Amino acid sequence: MATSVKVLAVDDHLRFLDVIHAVVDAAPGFTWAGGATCGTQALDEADLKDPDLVLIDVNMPEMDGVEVARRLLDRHPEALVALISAHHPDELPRAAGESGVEAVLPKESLSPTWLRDFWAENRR
Amino acid sequence: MNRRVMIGLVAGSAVLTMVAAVIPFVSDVATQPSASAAVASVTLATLLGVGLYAWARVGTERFGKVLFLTGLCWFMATLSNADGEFLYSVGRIFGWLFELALVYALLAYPTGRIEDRAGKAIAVVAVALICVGFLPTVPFVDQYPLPAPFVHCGQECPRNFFSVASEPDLIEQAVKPLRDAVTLAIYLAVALVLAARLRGVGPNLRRTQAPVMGAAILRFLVAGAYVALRRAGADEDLVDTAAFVGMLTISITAGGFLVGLLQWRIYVGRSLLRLTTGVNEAADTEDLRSLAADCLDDPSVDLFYTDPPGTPEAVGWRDSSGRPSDEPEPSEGKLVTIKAQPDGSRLAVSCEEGLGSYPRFLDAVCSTLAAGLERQRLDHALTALLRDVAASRKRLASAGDNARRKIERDLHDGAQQRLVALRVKLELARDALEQDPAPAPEVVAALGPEVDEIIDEVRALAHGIYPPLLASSGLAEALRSAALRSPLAASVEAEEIGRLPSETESAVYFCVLEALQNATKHAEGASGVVVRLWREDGIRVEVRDDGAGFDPAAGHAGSGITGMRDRLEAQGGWLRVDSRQGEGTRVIGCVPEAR
Repeated sequence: MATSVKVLAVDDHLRFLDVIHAVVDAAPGFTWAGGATCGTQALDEADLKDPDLVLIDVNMPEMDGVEVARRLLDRHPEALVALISAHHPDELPRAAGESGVEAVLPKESLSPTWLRDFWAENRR
Repeated sequence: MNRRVMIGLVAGSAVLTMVAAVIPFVSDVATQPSASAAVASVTLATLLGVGLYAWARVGTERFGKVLFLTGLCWFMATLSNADGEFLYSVGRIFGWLFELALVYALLAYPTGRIEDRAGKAIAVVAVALICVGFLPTVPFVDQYPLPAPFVHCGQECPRNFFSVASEPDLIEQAVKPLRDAVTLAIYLAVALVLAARLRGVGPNLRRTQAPVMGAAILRFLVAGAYVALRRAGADEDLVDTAAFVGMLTISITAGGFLVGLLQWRIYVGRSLLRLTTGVNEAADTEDLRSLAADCLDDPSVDLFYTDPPGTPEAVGWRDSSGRPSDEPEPSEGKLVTIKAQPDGSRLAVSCEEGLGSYPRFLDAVCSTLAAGLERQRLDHALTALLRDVAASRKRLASAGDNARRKIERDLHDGAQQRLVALRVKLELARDALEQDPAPAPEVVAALGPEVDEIIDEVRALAHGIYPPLLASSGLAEALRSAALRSPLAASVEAEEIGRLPSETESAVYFCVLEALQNATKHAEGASGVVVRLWREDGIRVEVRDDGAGFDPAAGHAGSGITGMRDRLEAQGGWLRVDSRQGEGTRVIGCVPEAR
């Protein structure tokens, strides 16, 4: 069995970071690498923890999720990135779909099953 | 004047003129009946005619009456052309009264009143002279003095009808020389006073006064010369010539009145025309002043005004350039006309004193200028109002946008995030229960508080958008409820005002809410805040705290106060914030009820 998948989550809502943490904990084979509440912190954390999978909220103050994803992929091309949002996917900026991320996911669809399937389909 | 009365007066004047022309021809003693008839009737016709013309004109009615009366005196004086003792004697006495009337008319031109002190003094002396020097001698003389200017009976003149006693020497030796001297002095004084008046007036008045004054000065110089020549016992032909010229100058004087009045009418018409057309183009008060100076032919014309009471930056009087000024007062040769406007503002025009004789003209000038000033004021007010309305519309629109953005953000950050999280947690719970169904009650119970939080959140949000109590129970109830939730102790004193249009209720409600928040945030040391709601010229609301207060002049009116004001002004109301350092803050607003 391979080593567990390290998951980094980026969301300015602390409450939801906790939810992601719980989902990761409930998903066998995934470990919580850490959470960040803004883009800058996310990039620092990524450099530090070298995550395999990164979940990034689209709507954040200062640096939005699309920009964070782009920068993060520049520095860690091997990471698997998914954008998450509480908005309906239709209401997200077009750039979200064109940022090189593997998926754009409504937050409510987040679950251990999704994590597993997503990793299985896109693992590198 | 009534048209019928005027026709009657004209007809009467014509009859009198004919009578005056006929008398010399039916007289046995007239030496030159044609000349006498011509002088008598032409002079009478001009005096009565010009008098009636002035009488019929607005502003010179009184002068017209004076001149008409002078004409009547002249008619009576022409009776001295008759050969009967009674008519002759009456005519001779009226000859004196005519001179008095003419002196009065000249001094009283153009108002019909003698305004200056010198003129009044002359009039008093002239009346005294008639009463003391002439009339008392009537019973004591056999013959009236000869030659006399309008008497052409040679040595055949009738005797004095009113003579009752023989003539004492005193009259011939003392009274006659004395009264001739006084008469001469009066004539000279009138000529001097009129000349001085003419010199003292500006070009606008000179054109109306010059014809009159010129003729009058000539008249009195000639009349004076006649009296002097007669007293000196000069050559009879010379005295007769002076008498004849003196007669002519009466008609010339009457003609001078006519020319002067006509000139004045032309001037007034032109001047008011220029003023009324120019007043609409005047951009500021300085323009108005120069327009007035131009129309009054007087560069020294000055204009002052006060703002209507209640104008924020009212300072009392201002000069035409808008600078604060002392109250304008009449000065040497200057007259100040003050015109009060219905809105309480005042306009003052300082111009040459002589125009005081034309109060109606001055009033028209001032009214026109005041209307111009009012127009400028309204223009400025309207421009400012439009600017305010545009700015307030922009603010209201952006306030609406901001409110929507805030609701979206509150929903997104609050209820939506919680619901999303709840959805994920349900999924997690399902996963967990699939593996081990035993702790199901605990797992489900743990989700309960999450749902409660969401309910609270949505409720608070809905309340912020439109408080349900405001919709269901009205302003007073909603304010009481808002006061209960206020962090700073708040009490509500609300009169029973019933329900109002919802836009009025929400404007007042959110205004109070903002004031309560301001008091909570800024009223340092406040022990509480009182909200009052009552009816007075609309719906009034007051939010008063006993906190530290602030200096409104220091520009503390933040967007909160602006927003409150916008809300009330959009309903046609107003808002005022009274505060002073250390004396708390009072926000008072009003919205009209009937719209």
